[in-house]
Amino acid sequence: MNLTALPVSTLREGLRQRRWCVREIVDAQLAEIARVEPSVKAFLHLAEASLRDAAGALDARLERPHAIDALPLAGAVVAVKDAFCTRAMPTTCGSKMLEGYRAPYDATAVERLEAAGALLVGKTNMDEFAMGSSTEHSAYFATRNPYDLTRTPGGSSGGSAAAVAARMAPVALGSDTGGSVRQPAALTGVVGFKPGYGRISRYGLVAFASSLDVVAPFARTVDDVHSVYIALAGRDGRDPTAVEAPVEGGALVAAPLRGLRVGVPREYLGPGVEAAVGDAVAASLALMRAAGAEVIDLSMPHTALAGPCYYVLAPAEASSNLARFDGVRYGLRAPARELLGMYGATRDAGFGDEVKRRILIGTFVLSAGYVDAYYAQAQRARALIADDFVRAFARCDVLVTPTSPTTAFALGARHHDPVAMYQADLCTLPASLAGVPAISLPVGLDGAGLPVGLQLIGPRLGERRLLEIAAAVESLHRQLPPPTL
Amino acid sequence: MVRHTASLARLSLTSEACAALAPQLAAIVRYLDALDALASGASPLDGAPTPLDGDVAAPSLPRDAALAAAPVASETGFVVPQFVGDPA
Repeated sequence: MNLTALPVSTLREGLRQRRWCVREIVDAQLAEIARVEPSVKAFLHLAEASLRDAAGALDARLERPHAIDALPLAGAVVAVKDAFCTRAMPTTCGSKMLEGYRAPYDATAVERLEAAGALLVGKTNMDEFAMGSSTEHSAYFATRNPYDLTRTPGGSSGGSAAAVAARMAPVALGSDTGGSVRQPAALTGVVGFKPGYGRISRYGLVAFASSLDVVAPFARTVDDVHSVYIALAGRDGRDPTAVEAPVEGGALVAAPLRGLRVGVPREYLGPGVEAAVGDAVAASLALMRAAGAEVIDLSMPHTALAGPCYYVLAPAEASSNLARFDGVRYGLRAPARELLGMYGATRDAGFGDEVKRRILIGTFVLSAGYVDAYYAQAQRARALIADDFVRAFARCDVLVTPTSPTTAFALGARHHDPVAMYQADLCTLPASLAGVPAISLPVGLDGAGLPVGLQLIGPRLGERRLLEIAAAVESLHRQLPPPTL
Repeated sequence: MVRHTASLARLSLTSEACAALAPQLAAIVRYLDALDALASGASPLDGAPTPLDGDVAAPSLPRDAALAAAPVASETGFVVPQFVGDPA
């Protein structure tokens, strides 16, 4: 039995039936990591010793009758994006600014994973401070796509996506501000689920753009992302933006597709979408139609504003959030004789090029004389984009779009062209700006053997229904073959 | 524009860095100018207000734990370069 290929639910059931123990799961995962990590480079930090210790402790705990009943993620080995604070491991956020930083507390999401019986294997690579779409903006190294090592896994949570795709972990944690979980999920052939804004506490997630940041899981099945979501979601007094609405638990049952109203906004299928991606979306829609769904063509007229809107608002918020990295309380300090010089030298030495670009853009759009032309206009555009979703969900139950206009692009292809890199997020930005839940599912491979992702978007607070629909759509597609590594 | 904005953002950029960034930032700003087409009369997003916590004292991070991550600290606080008067 290859334990690294199994979903969390099967691993847990095997633990319950004593077909294997947690140490066997961990041994299998660590052996796979030792085999493939040198070529994929998904991790910034591996915690092999503490993982083995935690496995032994969990095996001892599971000796008690019914102990597993309280552990919905028992035995799940989880890779965590290096944007989450962890006491037991370094937290760099992919930046030289935080090289060697050890947080004095755990993120709420990390606490809840461990409380549910999950085991942390390490911290994954990412674009610095989550700013990027290829993981090439990591200050340490680029992660490679397991399906083609010359290509990017997407980003910014590219390390987590690659770890799940390469069977180094069944599930992983990422953060999605404008698509940073859904886009890498699409490019690496795994499932990436962005809950709606406020569903999972961000306490301990290094802040990028606070009106957009969402904690989001990766897995290889919809059922597994659902299990992680249920374990993490819910109110947390340490994050005042975490919503009060109840989270519906229980086993996930695929929704009937007969009679389902599937909206297809035509603005997402424009000329920038690769033919192979468009074909895969059309094929998936044909399967849904054959299963009884009603496919509805519709327009979301403000979609084209999402890119400029996001690249005003996110840098504006980032320029404020990243002001805390000043060489005083944590992280890097550059030597200087006076305070302002120390701030400037520290931030010049600690931040990479993309982070500097976004801080400069964010500072510019908030500066006197420009704030009305850019920041206020972007807030207006955001309202119109959110209203597009309200109107669309009056006519349909779910929206279907490509997750990414292209399959995985070559490493280096967009690295020095920021605007070209920003195009990678065009299909994921609107749902982020509207704060609604969305999920990316693998629906096939293109002619070069690269995965294609399909995005399903649900209405505000409609996570449960969206996951039920996603499970039904998942069942229409054959599982992707694993990457050859 | 780059040097002034960098000073606002507390970034000490070299002249070479400013020169390299200028065309990139110009291209990004051109991309953002698509927002010009939007009528200024549209309403901004009216999000739900963030609930306020009660004004209740709660435990905070212990001082030693907070100081442990600082690049330079004394037993009682963060140590920074001189910021009043002429540097020594």
